[in-house]
Amino acid sequence: LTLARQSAVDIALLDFNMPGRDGLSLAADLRAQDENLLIAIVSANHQTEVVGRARELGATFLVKPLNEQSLKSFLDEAERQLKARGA
Amino acid sequence: VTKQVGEILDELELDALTELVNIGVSRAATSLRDMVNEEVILSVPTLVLVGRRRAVELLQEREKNKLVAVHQVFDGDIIGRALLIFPEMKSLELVRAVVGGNLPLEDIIELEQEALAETGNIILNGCLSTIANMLQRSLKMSLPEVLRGEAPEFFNLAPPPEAGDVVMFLYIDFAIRQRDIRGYIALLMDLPSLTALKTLLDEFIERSAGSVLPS
Repeated sequence: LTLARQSAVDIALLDFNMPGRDGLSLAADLRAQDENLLIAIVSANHQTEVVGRARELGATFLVKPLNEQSLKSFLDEAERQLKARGA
Repeated sequence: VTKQVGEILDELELDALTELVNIGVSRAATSLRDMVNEEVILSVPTLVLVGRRRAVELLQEREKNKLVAVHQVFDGDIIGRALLIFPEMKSLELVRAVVGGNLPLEDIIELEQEALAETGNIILNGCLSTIANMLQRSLKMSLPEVLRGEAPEFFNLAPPPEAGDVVMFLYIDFAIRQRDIRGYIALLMDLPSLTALKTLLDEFIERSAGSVLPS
């Protein structure tokens, strides 16, 4: 969160299951800080509630095990959006 | 007071639970296959509701040597523990399968703990998330913890269940054929959680029956 505050971060890949606060909680703070930040929540926990909360935050949900195809798809879309914004 | 299995779940509920577990474990096997990029073979899942002592015996009948388990607590309408268990002597082989075969042994050893935790996390979450979704409930999962020891330690983790001596023990053999790796998934719950699960299963059965159109 501090890093995102101090530097220009375009993309955040967050694990859902982390020590202390979970990835969705961090994503909510990041979103409050930057409404344009491109966020992906990565988790093997694909419960409807978790996926739904990620979407409510405007984040992409990537299921573990993360494969090249799904990561590339997210990054390609992120790149497209960043270009469209002129970033 | 110890309740017998038949007093907790009737035949239909047990069938429904077995079906949920089948689907959950299939999902977990798919995740494992994706991680190791090799065929993963599953045995027909065996679901028994037994006391902890019997659960220990069941595992000891199959595995005589030291074991490794990845342990996660789940909490929600039902509370319990999920364990992914396999022989300790196979743990490095499992890590090698997951991280790729070209790494030198010292790197594999260094990665072992973290790789085991993450592998367990993916397999157990794959299974439990699928079950939770079908029961239309959510479960909070703890961080994975790697345990080493023998069956009695895994089935008597502190704190013990507050009530009842009946636990659900699901076991399923999974094997990565080309690597001679085998393991088990066990879910443990105490009596209050089994009672809550019974209600959720009844709701699931009702929904399933309602979704079948008359011919």
